[in-house]
Amino acid sequence: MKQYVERTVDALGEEVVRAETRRRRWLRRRDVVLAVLTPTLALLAWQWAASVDVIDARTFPPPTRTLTKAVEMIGSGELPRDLLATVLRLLGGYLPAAAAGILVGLAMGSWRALGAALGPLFAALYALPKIAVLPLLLLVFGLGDTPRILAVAITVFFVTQINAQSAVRQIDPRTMELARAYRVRGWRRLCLVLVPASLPQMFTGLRVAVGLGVVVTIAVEFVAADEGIGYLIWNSWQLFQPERMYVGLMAAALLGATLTGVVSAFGWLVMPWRRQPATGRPRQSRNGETAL
Amino acid sequence: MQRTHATSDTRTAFAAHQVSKLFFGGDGPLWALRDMSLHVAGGSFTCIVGPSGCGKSTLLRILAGLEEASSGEVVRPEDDGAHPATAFVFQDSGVLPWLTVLDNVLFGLPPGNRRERVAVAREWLARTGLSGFESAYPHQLSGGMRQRVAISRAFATGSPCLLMDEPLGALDAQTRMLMQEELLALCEAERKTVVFVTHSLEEALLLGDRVILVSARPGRVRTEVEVPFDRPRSPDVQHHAEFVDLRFHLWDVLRDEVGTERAEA
Ligand SMILES: Nc1ncnc2c1ncn2[C@@H]1O[C@H](COP(=O)(O)OP(=O)(O)OP(=O)(O)O)[C@@H](O)[C@H]1O
Ligand SMILES: [Mg+2]
Repeated sequence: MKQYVERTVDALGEEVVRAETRRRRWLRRRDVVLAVLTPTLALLAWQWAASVDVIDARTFPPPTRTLTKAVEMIGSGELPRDLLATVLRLLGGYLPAAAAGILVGLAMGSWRALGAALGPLFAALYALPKIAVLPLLLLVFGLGDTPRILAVAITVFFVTQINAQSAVRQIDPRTMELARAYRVRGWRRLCLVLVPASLPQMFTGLRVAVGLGVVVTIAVEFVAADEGIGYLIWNSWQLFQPERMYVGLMAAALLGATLTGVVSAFGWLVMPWRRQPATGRPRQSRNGETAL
Repeated sequence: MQRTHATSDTRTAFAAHQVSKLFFGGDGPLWALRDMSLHVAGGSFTCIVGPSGCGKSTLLRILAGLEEASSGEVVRPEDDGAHPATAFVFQDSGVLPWLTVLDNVLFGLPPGNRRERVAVAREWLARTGLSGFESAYPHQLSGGMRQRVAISRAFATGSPCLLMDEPLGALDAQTRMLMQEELLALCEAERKTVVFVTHSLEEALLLGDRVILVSARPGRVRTEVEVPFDRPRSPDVQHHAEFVDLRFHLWDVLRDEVGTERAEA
């Protein structure tokens, strides 16, 4: 059989590759600059407005005061302690619930009878605002950390489960037929077809769940907790300490953004086929021309 | 209901007796095939042509056992231990986007010794001109290269029977001609039983021992021609007067079939 592909890059090819790499690098840098610029400008405007008394500096303290307060709270160990408490509660609920949600969702998507038996029930439970069951959980489990972690876990479970299930249901029937035609069954079918085909939507579920998980963790900490970011925010309101409250709000925002970023990065790692090439490595066409 | 038999005598690879298929689509039930009968001898190359939507893909999927006929009898070969009896090349979506080229070919090979499987897969990728692309993902390939991945997978299984549903349909004219030559060489070297669906009469006459023309829906065998050219065959047979005659004959019948369909629609 003839060999069609020659893998040589000539001088022109090198040139095109370099130009493309430069273009992509420039786009990436511009995106980063814009992403930093927008919030910076907003904060500067806030700072200016607070200093010339356009807004009430008691309820909207200038960002520099919040920052000073944050540094002080990090130094005293208060902020790290609260942050750690929140992160532990969040992960303690998120990790097992996400794993269980994915497994149950995959099973419900793969076995029609199981999906029919549990689907409507789970859909109803999914729609229930999870924070509304906190009193029930407190009633059952008392005032410890268990009911709070459970509230987070319940939230995360249903989001991941519903996404995993619908991901499996939406797999192209032709893909399943391909598996059948080549006798790919059981474990191989799970690893080579079902899971990779559902990964994109499963990760959508995991990302949404992490955001909701932060919301629910903070909310349950408002009630009967004595540490955590939620406690920090609530307590600042009670003591009328707006700077401290803003530190709590910023910590919550950063926590949510960081964890969402971690989930996205994980998705990037496990779905190599969805990556855009970072550098413009040229593809070769038949006669060795460069085709980008 | 469909009755299925395993191939018993060595001369028959596939057979269909009075096979009908009813689909339950959006606008009510629809006969895709009606009393289709067909016999495919072992080691033969059978091409199937017919108007679009006449049930060619359905017939092929029934022969492969991927679809159950509504009635009739089907004879198909049985898997032996080492090789699945049939390998299928699909009309579209033959490659999985999340697997590399190599893994897409390995997908078709029964689990076992990894090193041996990789060696077989690499050999077939080399024979279809895809060496060097083993770790590429399908989205990095051209449409023709993706189709060659699907063809490599079918051949790599070592199955004695190949069912191909317009494997070259998505290719540009030049690549298509090159792939036809390659397929011709591959199939003549491997002596496989091939059932090959195509829209191109030239392709059918170039590749096949026999061309079966299926009627407009519901599909049944409308006419059948033996292709008289010797093997090994070269693409030059297309200039043969007999080739041109056969092509015109087939087109005459096919035009009628497409015409009836248009008239009914
Ligand atoms: N799963 C299905 N459900 C309902 N109808 C179907 C299904 N599969 C095929 N059909 C119908 O059966 C008929 C035959 O389909 P088939 O795919 O076999 O045609 P074909 O001859 O392969 O056409 P083409 O040459 O365009 O690929 C079509 O009218 C199609 O609408
Ligand atoms: Mg078809």
